Amino acid sequence: MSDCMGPYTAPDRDRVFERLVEEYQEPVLRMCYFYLCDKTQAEDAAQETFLKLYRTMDRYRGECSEKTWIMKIAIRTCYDINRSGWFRMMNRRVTPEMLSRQTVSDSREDAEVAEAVMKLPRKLKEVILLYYYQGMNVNETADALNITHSAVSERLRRGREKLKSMLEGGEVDEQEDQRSRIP
Amino acid sequence: MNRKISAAEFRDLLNRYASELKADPRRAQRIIAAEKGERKMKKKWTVSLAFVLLILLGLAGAAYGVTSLCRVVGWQGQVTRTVEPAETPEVPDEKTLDKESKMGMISSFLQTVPDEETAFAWYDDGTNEMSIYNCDLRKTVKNTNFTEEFLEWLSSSGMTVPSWIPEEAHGRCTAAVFMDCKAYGQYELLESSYGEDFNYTRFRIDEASKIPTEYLFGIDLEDGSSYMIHSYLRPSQSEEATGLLEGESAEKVTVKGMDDALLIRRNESSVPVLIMRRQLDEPVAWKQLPVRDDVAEDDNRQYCEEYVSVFTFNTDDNRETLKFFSAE
Repeated sequence: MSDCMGPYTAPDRDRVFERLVEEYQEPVLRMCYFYLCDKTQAEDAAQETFLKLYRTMDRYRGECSEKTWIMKIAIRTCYDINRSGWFRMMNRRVTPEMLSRQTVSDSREDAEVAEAVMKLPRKLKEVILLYYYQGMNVNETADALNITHSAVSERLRRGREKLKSMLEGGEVDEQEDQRSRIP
Repeated sequence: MNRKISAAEFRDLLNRYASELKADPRRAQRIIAAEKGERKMKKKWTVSLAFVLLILLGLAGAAYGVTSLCRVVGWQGQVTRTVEPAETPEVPDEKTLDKESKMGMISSFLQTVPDEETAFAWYDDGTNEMSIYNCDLRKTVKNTNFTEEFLEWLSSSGMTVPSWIPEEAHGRCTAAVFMDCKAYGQYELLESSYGEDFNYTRFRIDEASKIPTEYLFGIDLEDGSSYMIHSYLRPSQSEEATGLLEGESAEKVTVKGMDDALLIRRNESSVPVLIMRRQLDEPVAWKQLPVRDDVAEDDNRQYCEEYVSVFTFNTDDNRETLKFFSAE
């Protein structure tokens, strides 16, 4: 555990919070975007994530890494937003194709893979984002999602297979614990 | 695309794709300031909030069609009127109790939920002070396999299509059940659960109500299909079915078990929406949560009609969705 981990108490609290926001703001924002497929919602989710973080900092005891802790809050926030009936109702006429136009990347490959990730079923998308995009290990991913290690592995496998089929024939590495290769 | 990419490439690729999303350099300071009461954080009106108000207004008895709706159609698919897009839903007055009082009321209300059931509640007063509260005060989750009990629920608690999920998919799908209960557009109670590997949780917020004011039901199949039913009750029969967005059309269809059904199509979109209604066998009432101090505790409105919409995010499988509902 590093010396910058909690518990965070005054007078260092605000200073630590500023560091956490600076360090994790962009990863959180982008992950929320891929989770929610909506820029505005992602910004709201990131804001709420850090607000919750600030309010709960005192409870952090360093049982997990800072990143796991923050991503757990972010995932939970996206989850809450996503499960709102209103969110779904609001999105009833939004297609993934429409969502993809909100981005600026000119790369066809970038768009192809990113849109495939965004189209993944929620459970598969969560593990793919945490494990591959955020670089968390299986233990951290399981902790963040409050699921078992085997569930993480299984979802990673299914996620890779799903991505593979969505990307039209891309190869997939069968080794669960080999992060170096994905479809 | 037919090649392997490394995890690092994957991250770079996604980062490039989302490169438009930039960090807010003052986010930390603004949050700290807001939390310390130095100043309020301003809320950006999001599309979702606007849509919430839109729907809530509709439920409160106002006609469908505010901001973005251009035409309102009846159950025969005919245009009944057009709506000026200039109308804007009003922001509710913040004539609300302080947060602790709200929390206390919600907590008290949750105490009335039977032990074997689960309640999840939040209060949202429409401001940006993150007024969402997760009240995990009572959590007795009842899990069951995705079997007969679930199908029985589907067919007996307001759902009209007992064979909604194809039999061959029973062992491969997960379910999410939402029940959104609300009143007067100021708050909502949400009871929800995500099925975890074929599990589901059934909620009932008020035994006397027999059926919830509203629920949204979703099914995610392994093949990526995502089907949903969104259902709520109306206090009285309405001849207006829904509002149409630019480029949408409405077509009357027949759905087994429903009195009326409209299929909403959009020219270039492959996401159809099927909306349906039926008369309930008997009127039902909804008991309100007294979160606000300016509304009565009990809502004596009698709900006589159930209104259901179904839609899908799977752009390739729309006909399959409609087949579940026997739309012709």
